[in-house]
Amino acid sequence: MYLCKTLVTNKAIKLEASIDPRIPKIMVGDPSKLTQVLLNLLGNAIKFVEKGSIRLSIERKSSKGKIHFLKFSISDTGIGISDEHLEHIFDSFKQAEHSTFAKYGGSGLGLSIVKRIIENLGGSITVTSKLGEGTTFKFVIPFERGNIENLTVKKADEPGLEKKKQAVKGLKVLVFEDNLLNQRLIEQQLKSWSCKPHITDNALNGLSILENKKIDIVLMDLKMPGMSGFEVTERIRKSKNKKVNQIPIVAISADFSTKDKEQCVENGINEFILKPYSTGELLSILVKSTKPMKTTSSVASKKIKPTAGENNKNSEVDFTTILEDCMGELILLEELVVLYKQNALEFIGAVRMHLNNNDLEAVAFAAHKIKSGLAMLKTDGLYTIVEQIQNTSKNDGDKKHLEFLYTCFLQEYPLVEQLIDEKMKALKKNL
Amino acid sequence: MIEKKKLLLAEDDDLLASLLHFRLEKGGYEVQLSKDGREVKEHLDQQMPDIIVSDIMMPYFSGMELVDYVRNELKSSIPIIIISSAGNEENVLIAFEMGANDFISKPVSPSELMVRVARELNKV
Repeated sequence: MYLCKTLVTNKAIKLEASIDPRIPKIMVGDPSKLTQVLLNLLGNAIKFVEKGSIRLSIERKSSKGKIHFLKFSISDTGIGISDEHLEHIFDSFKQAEHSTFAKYGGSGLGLSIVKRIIENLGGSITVTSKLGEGTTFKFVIPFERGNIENLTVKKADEPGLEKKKQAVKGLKVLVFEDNLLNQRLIEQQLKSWSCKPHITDNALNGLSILENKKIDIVLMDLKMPGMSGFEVTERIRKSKNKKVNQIPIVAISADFSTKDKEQCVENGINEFILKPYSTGELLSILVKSTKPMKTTSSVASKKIKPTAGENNKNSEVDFTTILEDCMGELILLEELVVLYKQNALEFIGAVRMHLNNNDLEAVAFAAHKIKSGLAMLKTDGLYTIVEQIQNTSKNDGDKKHLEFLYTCFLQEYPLVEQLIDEKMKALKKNL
Repeated sequence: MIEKKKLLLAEDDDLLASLLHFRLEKGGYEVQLSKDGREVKEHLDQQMPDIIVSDIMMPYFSGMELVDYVRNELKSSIPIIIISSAGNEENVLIAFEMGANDFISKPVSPSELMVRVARELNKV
């Protein structure tokens, strides 16, 4: 339901749900399938209703021993469906003719598949509708009553989460943080990922830890009493110890002005993360910030000859894979680069427009669309920004954070484009 | 002379489509590229390919709907390989249930796709 609410933010629609109290608390079924079905039907309703309400009700229809038959009904006060359309509504491909679907593409299931899923679960679905008054979908699915004992709590892990956790395992993290509560939180979080945290609220103390202990990454609260995060960073970068002066530093702050960001880059801070951040963000940034360290020290640096312009900070362009994929055909690579630039410009324009219109679903879609190209040219910096744009607009929809991420993209993109152009030039020269 | 195998590539992302089109053609396939679901359906209605490679998220016609259409409307058992992206894992499972044969995740390695295509065609 929460997910659906995010879809109706700019429409005059009421979303209501009622659940029969007689339904047992624990039921055994296929939650992912049920979610798919409900999201689809509710999603459709939201698309077709301009104002009025959408109601989801779940009641117990009948029960046979442990088996309960639950009746779901989704009614809307939308435009309704004409009888002739109604007849074919569950047929394959009828969905696609709807011009409404042209807007975002058919990422939905289509009613034929919804029907098939319900039937596979041993249920059935019916629909009634009146033009101009609304539509009601009703379906019944059998569920088995469950026991609390055999209820295994499985967290809905985001894809790749395990991989990320694996990547940061054993990571030695030095945290500069003066707030006691924040210290606790971050310590717990890091420990839960099997990192080895060192927490300090004292700049000098932290610097001495850096010189004496092996640390992989530094998390730095910028606003600390005494020595500011920027000053500490400067000291770290000026250290004579090579291991210390090249350590990745992630700045943490509640607000980053453009000036702050510029100063971050100037000071040699590699990444920044905005407070409050989700644990997922922190994890991603840890993975991202430590990755290049590992690869440069092993294989990558031996394979790729350093080129003249390789003193980049955040931006990185790696053409090795794509050139291999293109089987060395420079013409194809050039074509891809042209498309890449077009996509980026389209993205910049589209996101600006959708942000202005508060159309976050469209923002997420634009982000999704550009990701594949960003990944192909291995422009990982931009990819991470876009991924965050996609996640933020899909999840909490924090507008301020989205604007910040968008600005990051705007600042980063020209740098990346320049790097791409330089690289293309170098490749052509070598021919 | 051996006739070239016909491959329908359904991919709405220009970059990926260009790259895969190039590689598959180089690999000896006759490639028909469709950039949205309507085109896919038109091609399928005209001529059945030997194999389909389709993105899961496409305008007008998702990869799942495509699988459903091929298996249940056209009653064809030609191999279908789905290209998925992160966040679509659930849909990939559905596509499998509907009868997809294999899937490959983005970012797609063309070389890997070539191997998968060849493998599916060898099974037939």
